[in-house]
Amino acid sequence: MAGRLYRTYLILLIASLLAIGHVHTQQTLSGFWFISACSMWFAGQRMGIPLRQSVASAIWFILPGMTLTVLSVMSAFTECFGQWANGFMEFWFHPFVLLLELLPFRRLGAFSEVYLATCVVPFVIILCSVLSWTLARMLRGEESA
Amino acid sequence: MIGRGRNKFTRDAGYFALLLIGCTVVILAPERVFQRTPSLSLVHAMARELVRGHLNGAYQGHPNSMNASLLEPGDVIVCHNPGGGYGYWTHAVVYVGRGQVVDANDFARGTEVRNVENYRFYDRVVVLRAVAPASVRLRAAESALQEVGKAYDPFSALSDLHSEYCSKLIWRVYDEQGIRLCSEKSWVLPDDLASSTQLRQVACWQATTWRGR
Repeated sequence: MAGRLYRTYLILLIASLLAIGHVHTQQTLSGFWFISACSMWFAGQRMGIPLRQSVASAIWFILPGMTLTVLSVMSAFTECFGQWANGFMEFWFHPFVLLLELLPFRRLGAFSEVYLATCVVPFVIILCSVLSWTLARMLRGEESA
Repeated sequence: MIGRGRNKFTRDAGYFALLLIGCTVVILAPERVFQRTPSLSLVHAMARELVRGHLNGAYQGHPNSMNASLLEPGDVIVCHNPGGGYGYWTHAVVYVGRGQVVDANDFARGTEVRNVENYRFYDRVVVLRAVAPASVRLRAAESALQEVGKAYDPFSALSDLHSEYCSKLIWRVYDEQGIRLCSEKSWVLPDDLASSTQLRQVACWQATTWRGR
C-alpha cells in the first residue's frame, strides 16, 4: 500500500507543479488524491490487511514528510539548514498546503499558522489511520456479535 | 510470499529509477526545449541551479550601505545575492514606512513585517518607486500590511488570495491600485519587477567589496 501511495503522491506532486498558475486545478488534483488514498485505505481494511501492517504503511509513506518537518523545526530554532528544510517541506506537502491555505490566516508567535498546521499533518495521518482502523474493528466486532 | 515482496520491491525500485532518469533528462535538456512555456522554463532553470546548491543566492558577508531615510511608503526594494537560482534579483520587499517592510520569504514565518535594516545583508539592493502619486503608493503600502499573516507559497498563482510570495505580494498590491508592474503570468519574479517600466530606480546600494555577479 505504501508503494502505491508513494507513486500516486509523486504523480500528484509533478502534476501540481505543472499546473502552477491554475489553483483550482491543483486543488482538484489534491482532492482526487485524498479520495483515492482513502479508498485505498478502506479497500485494505475490507481485504483484511492487519492493523499493524497498515499503520506501518502509513508511517512508511509519511516518513519523508516527517523527516522534513523535524529538520524544518530544528532549522527554525537553530538555523542549521537555512531555508532549505522549509523549502523542501513546503514542496513535499504542497498538495496539503493548498487545502490548509483555505483556513483563516493568522500568525501564532513567530510562525505562520499554515506552517504549524503542516507540521502536524504527519501525526494527524497516523492518528487518523489508527482511529479509523480501531473504529472499523469495533464495528466489525459488533456485527459479528 | 517472499517472492511477491521482492517483486513489489523491484517494481517500486524501477519506478524510482524511472523518476530519477526523468529528472536527470529534464535537468540536462537544452533550454530551448522549455522556451515556449515560461513556467516549465523556470522549473528547468531552478532544477539546474538546485543541483549546484543554488536557490536564494548566498550573502558574501559584507553589508551594503543602505540609507533607509531615502525610502518612502510603497517603495519596492529588490535585493541581490550571487548564485540565485531564478534570476539576478533574488528577493523583493515593499517598504511600508517607519523603518519597516512587508516580506513574504519563508514558509515557517509566512508574510510578515520586518525591519528594513535586515536588508543590509544583501550584496546589492536597489530601491524602485512606482511612477504614481504618493497617495497611490501609500495605499499600496497599506494594502501590503493587510497581507501580513498570510501563508508563504512560491507555487501559488497570482489569482490565489490565500498565500503570497515576495514578488507576487508586490505585484498584487500595485495591481489593486490599477498599476500592472508586469504582465500576468504563472510566476512573477523579482527580475520582472526590476525591469518594470512602471517603476523607476531611486537608489542603489552595494557591499563595499561587491564585484558584480
